[in-house]
Amino acid sequence: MKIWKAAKLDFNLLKYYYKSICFTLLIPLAFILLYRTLAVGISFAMFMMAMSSIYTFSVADKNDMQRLYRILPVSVKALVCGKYLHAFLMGILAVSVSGILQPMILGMLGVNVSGKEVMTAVLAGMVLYITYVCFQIPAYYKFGPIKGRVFMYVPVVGILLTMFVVEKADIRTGVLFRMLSENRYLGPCLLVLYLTAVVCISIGISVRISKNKEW
Amino acid sequence: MDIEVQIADILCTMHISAVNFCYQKETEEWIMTDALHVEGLTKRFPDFTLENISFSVPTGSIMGLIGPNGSGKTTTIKLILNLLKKQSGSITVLGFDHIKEEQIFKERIGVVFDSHFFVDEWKMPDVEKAMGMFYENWDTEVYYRYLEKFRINREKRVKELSKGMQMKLMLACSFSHRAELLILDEPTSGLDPVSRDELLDILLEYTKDKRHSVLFSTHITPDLNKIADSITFINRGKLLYSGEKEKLTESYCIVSGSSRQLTPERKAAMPNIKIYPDSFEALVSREELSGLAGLQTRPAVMDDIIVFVSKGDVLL
Repeated sequence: MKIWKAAKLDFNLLKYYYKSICFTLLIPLAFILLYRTLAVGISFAMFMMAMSSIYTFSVADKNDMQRLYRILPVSVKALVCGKYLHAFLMGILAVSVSGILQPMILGMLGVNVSGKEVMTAVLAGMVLYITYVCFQIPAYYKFGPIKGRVFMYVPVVGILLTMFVVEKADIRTGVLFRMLSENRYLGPCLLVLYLTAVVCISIGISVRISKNKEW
Repeated sequence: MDIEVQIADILCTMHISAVNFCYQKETEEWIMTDALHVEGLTKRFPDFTLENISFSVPTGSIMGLIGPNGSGKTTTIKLILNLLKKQSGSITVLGFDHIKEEQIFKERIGVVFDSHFFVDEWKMPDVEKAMGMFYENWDTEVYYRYLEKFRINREKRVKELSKGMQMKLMLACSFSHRAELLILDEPTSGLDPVSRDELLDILLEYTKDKRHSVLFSTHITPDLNKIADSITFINRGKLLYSGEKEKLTESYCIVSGSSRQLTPERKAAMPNIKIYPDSFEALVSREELSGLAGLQTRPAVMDDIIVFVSKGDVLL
């Protein structure tokens, strides 16, 4: 319950920044007009949203709100988990908007997109987004939004790295691809395992940093 | 199971550290003797040490935490609120350990800093929404009643309020969750005399029922003359005095005389001394006055004590 309240506090922080967040959601729509590929469009939308995960830290820092966080009757752990919950909800918002609007735009452009393609793109976008924010948030806790601004560009590195791997590695002949195609449950299991590990490790690090921080 | 065991179990589940705190039954309600108890508090920084600070704020009273800038007042408050980690010592707030039972005591206290901690863009309903959801005892009606009482326009943004109004907004938030102890860190610094006076009146009214308590850090001592029951005086991280306000001022006086009257023996006997080209002034305890015949004396006010002691670092 307190985690949800902490997430709501983060939504309150962004109340006056919704316009820029809407702008963040709309830019990928222009991007898809150029590339006409759903996977690229949704990945780009998640990349943009991940770059705005610094907002709550910036607003809190600008208004010296660390003092408020520390006088509220809520644990550091709940506050940190609330921050992650807020970030994931923003991700869900971005992927939902993109997952609905982008296929519609592609349809208007004459590009047919199947339901399976939408699901795959949404899933891939969400996995990328969670990976990005799980790298970013501990860094923001550690260095703050000013010194830690460089971590805002983690998604750029992520996207370049993904493109590099896709281009260089011949996925279809890889061992992992063969194993995944032989066992239909292995892929989802690995994915769940990966996401759980990334999220838990990231939250653990953030809680540790937050608890050790003095204000 | 024995009735005592059952009561002990209930107390444990309510997280009440009964061992450390003495409760008295008075008019069917439980009242603690100390709202805040600090014992042997120490915190070391590379360039500053807060050393062995001990004091208590009795329930229903206002304690002034005084000292010059950089003396350790804010550090003490941050340690109480667990914003900083102490090296040693114990702190209990409203009967709760300030680390083990942090959330419980924070539910029951109000904090006012020298500047607000809300988002500048927030309007009053946004503040209510953000703060209210965290407190079980939050009363929205009380919040808006206090806004009216303090003449805070609910349509204004936080940044559009004057500094005095921002202080009152933080107080309104504290009152809206029925805080039993207010911790204020230099709330009057930067306020005009009218706003300062209003703030002091609010605090006096708050403690009128003798159930609410205030710890008030400031270096503006006239504020404390008006409202404080007791004083804790810190200088360069050391506790110099903690006790009744009157006792502090009544125990000291200022002596002055010409340079000729300042013999080496007298100079050595008065560590808190200011020497001017042709005269001198010193803070001395009233007990020592007998050995200083022939010098002019006047009663010491709290400002004198802070100024003189910050030079000599000794309170005789």
